[in-house]
Amino acid sequence: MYDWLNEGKAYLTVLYNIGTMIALGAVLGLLMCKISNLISKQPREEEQTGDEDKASSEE
Amino acid sequence: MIEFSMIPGVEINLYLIVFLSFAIGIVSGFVGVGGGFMMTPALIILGFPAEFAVGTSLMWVMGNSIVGTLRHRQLGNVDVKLGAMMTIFVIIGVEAGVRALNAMKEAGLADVTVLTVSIILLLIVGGYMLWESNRTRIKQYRAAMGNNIALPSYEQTQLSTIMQGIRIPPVIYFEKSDIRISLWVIAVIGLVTGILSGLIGVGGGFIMVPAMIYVIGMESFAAVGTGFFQIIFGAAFGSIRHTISGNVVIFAALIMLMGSSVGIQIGVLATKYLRGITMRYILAITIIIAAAGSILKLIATTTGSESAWLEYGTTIVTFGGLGLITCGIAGLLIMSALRRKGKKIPDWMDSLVRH
Repeated sequence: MYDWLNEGKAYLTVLYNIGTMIALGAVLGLLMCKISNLISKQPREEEQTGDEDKASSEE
Repeated sequence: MIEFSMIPGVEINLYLIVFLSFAIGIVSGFVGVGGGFMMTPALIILGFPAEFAVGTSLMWVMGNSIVGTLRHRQLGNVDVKLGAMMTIFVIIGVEAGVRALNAMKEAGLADVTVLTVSIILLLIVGGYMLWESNRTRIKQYRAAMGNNIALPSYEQTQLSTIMQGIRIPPVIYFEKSDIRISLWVIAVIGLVTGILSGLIGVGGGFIMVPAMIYVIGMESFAAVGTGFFQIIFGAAFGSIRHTISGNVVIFAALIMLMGSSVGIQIGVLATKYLRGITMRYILAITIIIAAAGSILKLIATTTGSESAWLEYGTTIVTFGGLGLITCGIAGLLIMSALRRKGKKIPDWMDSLVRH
């Protein structure tokens, strides 16, 4: 009889859990990016994507 | 000590959870794996029932990957276009893998088969990465010593060259990674990695990051950032399933996220000071540690026992492995800082840090 209620509750829990995690992840992620930038200089992009990081040939 | 309402009677040390998440965040931020393979056994050791440990760590992996993606994106390491395309095929593959696993179980194939396959796969991937990283490091070291050997770092793997040579339309150009590759190749790689992830139950990072480096031919840290982006969707998919089953302690996952979000910043910072080859080394070691954990699980499954030495073994592999990798990254960061200050560091370490 109350299956629909339980089902609705389960969907609400899913929404709540996923929503909370996404929101906290986004807020913490952006906050930490700002703090990291404040603490250290912003690294240059070319430093990160240099060719030297590619895997070597198998020959 | 804290007691969660969903798991009454289990008291967990709050500081230990935060510290663990912080340490796992460092590893995860550097090598681009979700971290669930370390978090799940750690939570079980701390007292979480197994099903809650799996569900909660998967939910945490999702949040952790959001934090990692944001940071890597800032450094230009995320290829959203490639990641989004691969994600579609990976999710289809994961679903196929999970269904195949269920079919295998119904057909009477025990967990032992799946565990054995996963151990072999992890050992092959980890072993190959270790061998390749070591060989490249030695070559680069010799080249640097003036032996006139060309730096292999400018080449791609033979496999990635072959894959990029397949010109079945539509061929797509990914500006961020500077790769021109057929959509069919991406589809096959995404499906295969998804099926393997779903079948053996490890997070996507273990298979996706090496696949992006060695098969697609991406740069190491671009693969790490893009891997994080893909893990968000895979983990969200799993989290929804576990939440419906009532296996997620959301409060614990949120606390863990607070710890790991700080650790990730250190892991990502390490990508600025350490080389791509170091990342591949550490990912290889991480994969081998995960394989060791699976071997213990296989022993427990085959013997059907919960003996004390197996518990000790799991604790040593989980915490020892985590400690080893975290200390390794921290140690190399310190060495890199010393080198930048003009101090002399051992030659083998010199080939692992950025100059």
